[in-house]
Amino acid sequence: MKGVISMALDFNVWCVIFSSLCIAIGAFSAAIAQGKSIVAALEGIARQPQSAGEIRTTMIIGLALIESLAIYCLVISLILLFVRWKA
Amino acid sequence: MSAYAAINFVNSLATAAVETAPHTATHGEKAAESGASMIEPSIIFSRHWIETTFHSVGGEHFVVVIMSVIVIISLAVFLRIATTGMLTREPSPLQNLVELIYESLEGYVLNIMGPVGQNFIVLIGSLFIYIFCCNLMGIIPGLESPTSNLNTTIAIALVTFLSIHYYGLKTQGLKYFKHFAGDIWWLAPLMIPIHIIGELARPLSLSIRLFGNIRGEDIAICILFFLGAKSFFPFFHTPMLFLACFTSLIQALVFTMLSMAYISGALPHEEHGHGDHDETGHNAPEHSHDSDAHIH
Repeated sequence: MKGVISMALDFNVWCVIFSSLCIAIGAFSAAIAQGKSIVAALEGIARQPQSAGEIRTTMIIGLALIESLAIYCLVISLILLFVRWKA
Repeated sequence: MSAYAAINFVNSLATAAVETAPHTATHGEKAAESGASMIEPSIIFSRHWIETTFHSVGGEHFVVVIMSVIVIISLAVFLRIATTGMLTREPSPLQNLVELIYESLEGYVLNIMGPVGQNFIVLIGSLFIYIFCCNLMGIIPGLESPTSNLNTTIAIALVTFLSIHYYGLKTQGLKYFKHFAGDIWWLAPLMIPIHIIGELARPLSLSIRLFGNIRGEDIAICILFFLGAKSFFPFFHTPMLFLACFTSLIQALVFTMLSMAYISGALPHEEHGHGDHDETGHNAPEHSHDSDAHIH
């Protein structure tokens, strides 16, 4: 049995490693972006409580758009994980 | 997640437990076959029992079609039952429920699109109810949510895509194509391809967002369920079920909200007055336009 750490890792192992990296980086950056937008929206609501409805609507749209990037990462990592590559 | 997949997985667990394979396997594939700790991809993407039953007919996509038909028929029957004998002085509880749903949807649409949204309550409301029911269907064992398949979400997103341009052309005529060129005329050769790509990216992002959310949530429920089945503590996936209910609502909300933002972006802008006397009624659609300008 060869050593675990070798350059000639199996292709499926690379797929698993990079799919987990993909979703990790995607979730990390999406979480930071969503946190920033929520902070800004909450500050806006705290300053002007009468415009809470519009701010909330716009914030939810923005959150959906940010989250869709994380979802693309999820889709790509699922493809990396579950599609049987011929290699 | 399907019941067939669960049965398949339990069987594979049993066989893996019986054969106590020593760790002589050097290749990754062999290790994956003998190791019960690894969840095989074919389990999650295994065939639903409907697909295996109708396999001779050649229906690979029978599962999605049948699940969609189940949703549509049950919704139609429910609404038919709820709305028979309407306009009575004492409405039945079902009619009250349906009226509550309609009124909340009406308020939701009018809040975002403004007074012009009166024409779009039927479209947006149907989209919302259908997507919500489809999303919720996945947490019932044996059923699959139709929106966890890319075909369904692309179909729904195409409805939105076509209605954007239909209403844009209907309300503005051929002037609708002028906004593709942008404001500065000599930038038009640059702006037209950008706008076309942006228009085409809308149904893509709508469909992939819905698909990825619902599919990922179903896979998470599936994996946690298998974890529970393996460790004989069958409640690992229970918090995920509540999260799935929440996600279903949020995704239906987001889909319809983006559809409304896109459609109201295609409508003519002069229609909304800019009077200072009525801030709540007239500022909402303008803000949706402003936010739509940055969504591409």
